[in-house]
Amino acid sequence: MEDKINPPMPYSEILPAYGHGWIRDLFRDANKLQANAEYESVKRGMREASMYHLNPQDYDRQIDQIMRDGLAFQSIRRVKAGGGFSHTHQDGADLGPDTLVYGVLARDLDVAAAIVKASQPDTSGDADNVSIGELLGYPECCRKAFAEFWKTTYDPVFEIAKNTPGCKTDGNTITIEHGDPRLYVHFRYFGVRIIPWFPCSFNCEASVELAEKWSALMYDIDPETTEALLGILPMESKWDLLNSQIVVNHPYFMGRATSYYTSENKIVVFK
Amino acid sequence: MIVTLEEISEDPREAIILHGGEVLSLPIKDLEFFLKAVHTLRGETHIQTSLSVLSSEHIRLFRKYNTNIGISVDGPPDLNALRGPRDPARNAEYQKNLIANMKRLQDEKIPFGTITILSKVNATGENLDRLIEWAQVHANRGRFNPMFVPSWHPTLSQYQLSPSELKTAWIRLAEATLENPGFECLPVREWVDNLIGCGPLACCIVARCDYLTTMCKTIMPDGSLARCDRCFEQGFYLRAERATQARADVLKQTECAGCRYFDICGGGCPGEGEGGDPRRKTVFCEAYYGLYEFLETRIKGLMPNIQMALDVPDYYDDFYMKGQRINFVGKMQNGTWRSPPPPDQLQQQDKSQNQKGGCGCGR
Repeated sequence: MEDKINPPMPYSEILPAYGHGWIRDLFRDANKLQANAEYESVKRGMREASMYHLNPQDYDRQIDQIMRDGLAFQSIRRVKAGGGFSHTHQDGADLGPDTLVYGVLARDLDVAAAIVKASQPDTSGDADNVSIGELLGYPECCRKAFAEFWKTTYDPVFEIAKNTPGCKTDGNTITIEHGDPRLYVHFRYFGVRIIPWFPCSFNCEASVELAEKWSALMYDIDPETTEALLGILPMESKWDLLNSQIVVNHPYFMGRATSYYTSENKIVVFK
Repeated sequence: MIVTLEEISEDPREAIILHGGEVLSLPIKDLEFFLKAVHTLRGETHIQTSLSVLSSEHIRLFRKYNTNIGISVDGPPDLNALRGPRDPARNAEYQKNLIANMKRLQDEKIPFGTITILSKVNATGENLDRLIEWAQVHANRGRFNPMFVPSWHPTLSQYQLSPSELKTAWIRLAEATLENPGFECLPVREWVDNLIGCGPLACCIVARCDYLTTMCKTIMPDGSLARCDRCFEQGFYLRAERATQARADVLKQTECAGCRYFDICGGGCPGEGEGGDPRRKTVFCEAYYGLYEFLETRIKGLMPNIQMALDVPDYYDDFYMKGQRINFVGKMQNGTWRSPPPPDQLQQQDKSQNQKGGCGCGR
């Protein structure tokens, strides 16, 4: 991991461009849609399992639904709730309004148990990310790449860009001209993404193939929000990291989020 | 706009100022509408104006609505040349009107303060001496802010002081201030208070202003609440819903690591971030440091055993937030706005939002 300083409190926020206040509503809807799609992907058999959070304000309804849908849940650990987006989970202590239960939603209890087991830190302190990725149905190339990215960063936007065939590099700026916007993960700080995994590159063929299914699933759940997302993702945007803070510039909003520390700018331009 | 104004006004720490554009260019009926609205809420009003126009009707409104006037002026006419029309003849007329209007306010015994922008035009060499002399005669209550040029602007940067020049200008102003108890020169007076812990931290530029929410709030024509207009250069006006202290938290460990004055500076105004990047410390770091160092030396020269805010770890975040102070010697001339809020209010407030002060804007 790259942090050589105490990281700032996790934070993510957007500023809509003037006249585009609607973007806040879209992002809220997108956040819900993403969570629904993760759940539905398991329920509909698109994959075997998904990571899942039991919410203290809603856990009765969530458990009812899981039981009704014939699915299984296994907890991994208690984590702190609130504060919006966070790259990694912070341990929660006692159950209560400030604690979520982080775990696995699965079609089969054995799969859930396997993911729980793979999530336990090994001697180096890391989970078995390759096995987890496989059980979650992510492409093989992306699982392998993620395991490499994770050795140095928990926020691999720059690394994915660097790994993208055809990217243009100028110093610390990488330009992506032929990426598939459905693979973009630099709006995820604000609740916006199509695929729930980190692709190995922004035009990874295996990810594009799966992204097709994910966007179809999202469209089936909420066509209006999905169309809006597929409208804003391809627009030119810039991801810019410095001093543990990311700035994402888009014609409709400016987003800010916390990330790992780097003293030199790292920039990815999505054309 | 009025609904938003009323919401803001619920927080007694928020000063409400009719800014511009040029507020006195409003039709009298409209100006009175806004002054009346603010006066109803606060019993007083504040405006910031170039004072290029002034009528008997304006004076009547100032008296009726107990108006505190801030004039945007950078010194005597030749030092104020960056303000007003570009055409020399029209600029001369503008300067003449301004001087006449300031005199008229004085004759009418209507007090005013000034905001002066320090630039290469008025704050270097002999011009700096003339500015300081003029300020003590014409604007005994004044704020002296560095000219701030948006990073994208192609030509204006030629007028912006270097950090070293700003340091010299601020120290010269501080010398004049320390010799003249009646000269309420800001940020000098505020920074003395910051050093001795008579807070709250002022002004906004040293109070860890968050770039996405900003301490200064701007009410837009449609009533929406925007950020400080220093941020408008990026083309994003609206405010974020939550504040963050990420910038200060990181700067404290990196660009500002080990700085003696970090707790009472916070890396400065994010709008002045190096390279136009609000994540970085202010481009005027040398001047901020220089003024604090000068003032600390003078204070300790006078009172070698004084305990200062810097001597108490996390003074403003912990000690002051509990309603405690280490020194009770500091009191501004106009009193109440420098007093800490009552402890029960302090505990309810977000730390960053508790550190309020005057305006560091570039007006």
